[in-house]
Amino acid sequence: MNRESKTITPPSRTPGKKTGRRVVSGLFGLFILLALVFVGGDARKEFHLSLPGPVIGLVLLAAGFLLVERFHTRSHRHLKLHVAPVSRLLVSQMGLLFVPVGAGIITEGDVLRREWLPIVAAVIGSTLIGLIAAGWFMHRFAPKIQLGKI
Amino acid sequence: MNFPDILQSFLWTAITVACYLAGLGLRRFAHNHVLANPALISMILVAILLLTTHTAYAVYFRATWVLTFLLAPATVALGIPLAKNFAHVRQSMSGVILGLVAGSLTSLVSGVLLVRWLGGNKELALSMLPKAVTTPIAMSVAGQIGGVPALTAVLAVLGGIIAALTFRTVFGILRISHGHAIGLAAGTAGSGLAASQAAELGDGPAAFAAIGIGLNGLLTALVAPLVATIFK
Repeated sequence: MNRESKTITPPSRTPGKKTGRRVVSGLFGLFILLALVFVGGDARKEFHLSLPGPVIGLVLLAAGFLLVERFHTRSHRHLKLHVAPVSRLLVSQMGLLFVPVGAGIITEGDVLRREWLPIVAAVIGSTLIGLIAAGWFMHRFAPKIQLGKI
Repeated sequence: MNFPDILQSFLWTAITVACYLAGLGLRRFAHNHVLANPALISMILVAILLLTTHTAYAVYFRATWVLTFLLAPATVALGIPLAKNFAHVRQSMSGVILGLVAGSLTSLVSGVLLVRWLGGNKELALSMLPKAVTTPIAMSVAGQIGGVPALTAVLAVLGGIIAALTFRTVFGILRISHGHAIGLAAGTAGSGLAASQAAELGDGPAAFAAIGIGLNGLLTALVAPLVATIFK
């Protein structure tokens, strides 16, 4: 009887359980990311680095990911299972997170009205220059066989 | 934090999320067109709401601290795509490094010079400096070197849109047809927005775009303070 009831568990119960597990996993992943933010901030102060704390955290995460990929498969699986999904969520919806800062543009109305010409010209000009320089140099100096053709 | 503060915090955060969802809806309605950028749309909607309700920006900014707080872990999270695609860097080391350094330095220097040449002030030049990199890194770099983070956020999104709109045409004219070079350039000069467009060209361009975003964020954070002191 007991075994039977186990085998015919209604499938409607699984999603709830899964959601719970995903939330716990996501919180664990977020905890790791936050820990790296604070480690980065401390490292910045301690070693007088010019990099912002979160960027140091980024480097530590990438380096750690590459290290455990080679030397510690179990930690690598944990990173992929718990940190990667929440990272994907944060990166894909990053736009939401900088809305409060970006809305601060309303306090800069003066600058926009007075200096719209340098703003528009410099954004367009320097974006195009950077784009062309990066594309051309990579195109020119990367080994040709390894450049993917489209 | 007393009761009205919590209520206000909840209200403004909910409004911001609602504006962002509206932006996402608009983007789907516009068939994922680059101009329908959810972040830009929600910034405009929030700005209109703040101006019509006569809310001080400082009040709104304090109320939505949760979102700003999450920016830091989101920046760290960019390390995952960088690490996953790092094998590609080893394959074409010289090209990636040269392309990256060239794209990064030219866009840093040309931004400052164009602003100064056209009569913009120093604050604007410093806000323009890091605008090519992914917005959260651009903002923290801007704050560090004496620019205005809010201005940099808007400039970064606009630059990303311009890169995303033009890169196919630009590389068509220059007859650069190598997917990896196009991907790297899109990620380096246009960060997330151009990268998502480049990702449509295939897995190779997508990987190199992710590398471009991550490495240019790192390089700009390192070099921008130096460039800022030179052009002061």
